[in-house]
Amino acid sequence: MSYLENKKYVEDKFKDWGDIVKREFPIGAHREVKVFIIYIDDMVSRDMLEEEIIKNFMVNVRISPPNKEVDFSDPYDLLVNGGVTTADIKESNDIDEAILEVMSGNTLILIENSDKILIISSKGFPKRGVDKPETEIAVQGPQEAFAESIRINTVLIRRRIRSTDLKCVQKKVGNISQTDVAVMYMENIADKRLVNKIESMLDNLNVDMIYDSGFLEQYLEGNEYSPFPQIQLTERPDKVAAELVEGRIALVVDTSPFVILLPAVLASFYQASEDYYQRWEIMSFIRIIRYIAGFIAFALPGLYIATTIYNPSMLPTDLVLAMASARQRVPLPTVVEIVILELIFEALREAGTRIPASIGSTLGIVGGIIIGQAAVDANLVSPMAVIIISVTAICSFAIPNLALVSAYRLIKYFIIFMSAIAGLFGFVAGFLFVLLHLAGLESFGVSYIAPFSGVSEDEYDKVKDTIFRFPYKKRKESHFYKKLEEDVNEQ
Amino acid sequence: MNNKISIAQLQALIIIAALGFEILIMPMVISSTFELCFIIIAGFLLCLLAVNSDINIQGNKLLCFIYSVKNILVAVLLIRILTDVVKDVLLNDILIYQIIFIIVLSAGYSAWKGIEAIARISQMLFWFVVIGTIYIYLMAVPDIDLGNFAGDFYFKNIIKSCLFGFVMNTAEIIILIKSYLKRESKRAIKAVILSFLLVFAITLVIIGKIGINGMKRVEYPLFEIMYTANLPNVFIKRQEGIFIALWIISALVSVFIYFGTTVSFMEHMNIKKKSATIMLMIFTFALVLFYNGTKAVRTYCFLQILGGIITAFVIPLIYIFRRNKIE
Repeated sequence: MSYLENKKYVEDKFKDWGDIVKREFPIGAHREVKVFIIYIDDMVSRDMLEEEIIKNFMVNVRISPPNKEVDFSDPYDLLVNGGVTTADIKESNDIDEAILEVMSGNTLILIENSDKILIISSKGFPKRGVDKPETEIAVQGPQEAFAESIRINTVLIRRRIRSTDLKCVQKKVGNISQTDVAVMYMENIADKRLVNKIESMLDNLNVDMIYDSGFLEQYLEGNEYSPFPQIQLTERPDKVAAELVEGRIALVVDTSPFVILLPAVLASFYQASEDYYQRWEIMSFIRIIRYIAGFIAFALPGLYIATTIYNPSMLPTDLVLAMASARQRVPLPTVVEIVILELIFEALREAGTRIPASIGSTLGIVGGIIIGQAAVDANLVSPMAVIIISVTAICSFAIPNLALVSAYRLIKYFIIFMSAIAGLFGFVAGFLFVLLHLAGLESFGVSYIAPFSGVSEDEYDKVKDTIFRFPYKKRKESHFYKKLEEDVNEQ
Repeated sequence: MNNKISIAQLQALIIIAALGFEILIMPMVISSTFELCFIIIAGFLLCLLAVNSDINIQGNKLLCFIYSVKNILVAVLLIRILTDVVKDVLLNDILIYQIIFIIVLSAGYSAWKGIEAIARISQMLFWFVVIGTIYIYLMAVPDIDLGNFAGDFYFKNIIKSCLFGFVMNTAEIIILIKSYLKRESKRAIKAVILSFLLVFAITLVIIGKIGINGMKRVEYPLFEIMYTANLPNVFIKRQEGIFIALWIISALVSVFIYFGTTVSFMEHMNIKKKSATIMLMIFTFALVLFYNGTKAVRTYCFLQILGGIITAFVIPLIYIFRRNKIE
């Protein structure tokens, strides 16, 4: 299309855009060529644009080269090679693509007598800087978290892996939102077939809007009916860098401070960045605690119900007597008592996330201590039930991944139900149900319960980083996920 | 999921299955230690036959039908035995339908998830089940009265003992699983030996502790050991619940194997997975209810011997002869 056609098309598209800035101005000593510039206010770096582009066009092009008439026979070439003093430019013949660039914070320049469209990378929208992690706090180790800008996030990763093998393929996802999504992987480690599969999934994603990486996560996961997360989200750049080197693939979504890591296995949700910054003995011990806490988080209320209602003979006699005397004046059946307390705790947790931080501790004291004590004193609930619910809640917070905690929160009610209808047998059957569900799950071709099952013993021995975090010198293989994928492909 | 399983997973399946119904039933059917030896040897020979046979059930619709029918009958009896055990040992006050419903539902879910998922959970739970079971029987060893073995080594009926080798369902599990294996099944023999040693050792401990006559008097000799073993009470006082839970896991895995393979065979008979699973669940539930549970163990042994002659002996043997003929 010609300059005028392009200009009209762009003006039509941006009609009624109050935040658009556009200007047509002539350049050259004799006003030989017109230039039309358009960008969205405050999405661009105005200083850079005025200093590097507009000033050059209006002033420098006229005086360069000195004492010589400027040749405007190819104005595009003249401006690109003599008027633009930034390296980050792009040439396009597609006006729709150029409009998309404007909406991404770049500047579009139409040049008279040229079909080519010049796009200047000038993104400069307001953004939050690099802050401390809030959901994955580590005492030791880096204290940086991702921000909402895709570029900040990719830079935070690149700072940690200075290798040309770290690839970053950028795509636009969302029919309307056209959100930037960067697929990052180590070319020499990650499974190329998996990379291709993910790129293809992103290309074929038919969705209007990508609000956040959590939104994209739900579109990418294989089993949408499973409460278990099949893709991992993290806000820590050090974690992403480490996982990339292990062979995983990262998806950095613009406007989201969480980066997607895939594939994900159950064991990966029990790992925290800090595990690798401290000595292996203490971190292995803490990992074991996390696994036990994970089991307690979904199993303890069910076990309590199973043993108190159906199988008290399984408990020591002293304990049974103590529990019976504590429950003597409680009017509610054990199952109802536990479920009500669990629901109250869920409400308390939900209120805690919404409430302003300044009064958060008050809520904890009022909700947890005062009401809890009052309920026990009023014989509404037994002290043992309060202890069970509290221990369950504390254990759930010992798991370093919130998505897994949420899954356990739901699974807990299923286990309570099974234990309530068939005691210890119901508990075992419910536990096997959950295990079968986990065994049937796969994350991008990798067994969800790998490396506990689904990899050869030989590979498992090489990894040495599951329940125990062995000393680094004992690890023969750091490309954990590459190995898992190879194992899957062998089948 | 591609329904392919590794040798390690097969090994886990074999051993966990052996720690389920086999260690429950063995003390209930033997009359002397010699009988136990013959049963073990016969069972082991059947396993060798199964491992060396080229049988591929999935590739033949007739075989799919035969093994499906046998599997369903075995599953019905196993569920009935498990139901009775659970009711007697854990849940006296609960309706039997409730227990059957939970077992059938979980077995149906396992079949829906596929044999690979069943194999994966077996591999995952392997060490918990094996260490837990070995631990409790080791604790019972000091209580063994050697007098219980006195006069116990006698030949009663060698042919009957050998036929009881079919009750050891390890050979049948190998045949059922063979066609899902990624590699050849010969490496599974290590697991067969280990599982047979475990069954042999556990049954010896039971004989040594309560004697052959004692075993006839109690309903479930296996659980007698769990309740009476002198476990060190350093950490918790009553521990038998943990071991009963481990046994239930093993028993359920055995039922899952029969359900999972049956649904897979039905798929090869052009029945859709969803329909096959639902049909199997309804049919099994109805049959288990219909069946009178008091003689379940005896009927199970009878079925395993009679059906096993065809499914675990004749058919694998035909395949060995056929291969030798081609070679």
